[in-house]
Amino acid sequence: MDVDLEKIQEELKTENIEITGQVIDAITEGQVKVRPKWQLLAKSGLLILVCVLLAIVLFYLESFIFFSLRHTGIILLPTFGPRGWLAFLLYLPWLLILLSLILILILEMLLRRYSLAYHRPLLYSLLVILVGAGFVGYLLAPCHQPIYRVAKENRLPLAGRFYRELDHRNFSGIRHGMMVSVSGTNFVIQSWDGATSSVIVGDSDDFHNNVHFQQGDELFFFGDEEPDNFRAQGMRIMMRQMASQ
Amino acid sequence: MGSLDAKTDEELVKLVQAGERDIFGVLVKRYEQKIFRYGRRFVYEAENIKDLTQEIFIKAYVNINSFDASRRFSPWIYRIAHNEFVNSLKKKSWEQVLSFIDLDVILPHLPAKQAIEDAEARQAIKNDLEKALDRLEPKYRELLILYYYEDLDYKAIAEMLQVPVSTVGVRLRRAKARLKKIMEK
Repeated sequence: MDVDLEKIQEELKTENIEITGQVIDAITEGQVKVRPKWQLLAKSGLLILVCVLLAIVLFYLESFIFFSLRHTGIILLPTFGPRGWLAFLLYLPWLLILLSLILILILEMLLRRYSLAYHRPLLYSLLVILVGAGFVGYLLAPCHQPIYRVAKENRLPLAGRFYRELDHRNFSGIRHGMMVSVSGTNFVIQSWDGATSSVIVGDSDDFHNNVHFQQGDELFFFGDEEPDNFRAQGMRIMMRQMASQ
Repeated sequence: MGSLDAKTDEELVKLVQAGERDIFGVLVKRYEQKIFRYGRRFVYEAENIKDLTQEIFIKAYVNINSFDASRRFSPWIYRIAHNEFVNSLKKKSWEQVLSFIDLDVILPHLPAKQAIEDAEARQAIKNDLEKALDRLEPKYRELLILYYYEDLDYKAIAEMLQVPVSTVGVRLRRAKARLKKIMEK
């Protein structure tokens, strides 16, 4: 771009812009008016409201993610070593995670209007929102249990479908549900959608070590799909049947 | 008028907010040359700096109630000017606007101490800057103008650009290095 720097320098030295008169004329002639305080307050109020609503949606979404991970047992996958970690990453609800990341970014953009946010590096405020939302989501996750029950009885409009779908998701390499029976190395479990499946476990003590299984125990198996059954490599007891203990 | 001249910017704003609209003229008088100079150097290619400067004061007047008189007025008016000038860049090139978004704002930096430079060193940088205006990226150009020509300190620049103070230090250091590189070519 051709720039006449000398001209700019000359202009800066000589130009006397004197716009005061024009601005004052515009004010006195009523062409411009001061925006009333109520308008500014309403604008800030609206911004705060949007932030609060976004935070609520974000907390709901994060807590639903934690609930779904706990409900499907996926949260336990990392305890099965590298293969478990791989499956965990594969089965994470990426769409919901992506959605919550978008919400976090929008929230961050809105909060950066406040000096508390913009005086700090973006990474800090982003981490605060990310960790804060994750922590609150984790704490609120159990609140989804009663909602899930209502959804299961088809009494929850709109969101009910999302809860019911959790029961119908099939993950390869995973069996999860209530124990119906156990016979030697063969477990029969019933998943949340009512279907029963047979799981063969090894003879290893890891599976039976001093554990007296009860009907109704919530079990989680990680292993390999075989043509006629499922061979477990590992098992976790998610919840014992308390009544019979 | 004499008594008004003795008042601080913030005291004048309080009077304008209280309804003494004409007093806004005193503020315009105090800042018109500064804002014009800042715009002339920052968006040197724009032909309508005078109109933009006028628009800045009109916007400041319209939004005068949003100014918190417990804070400093100069970063606030420069913030409005910055937005207006960046918008004028926007019409010209998205590339220039995008250049304002960088890792400096995202990543944390060590606390920045305002550099102590003697008058001679400052003058040398001002001279170099004048010669290399068109070869510096807008975000560096603006920072050097604010610091060396408009004499704003790190805190005021940080407040105005709405970035952490440490970012101002880092960016200013880079801007000077960039300027030096350009001058060596």
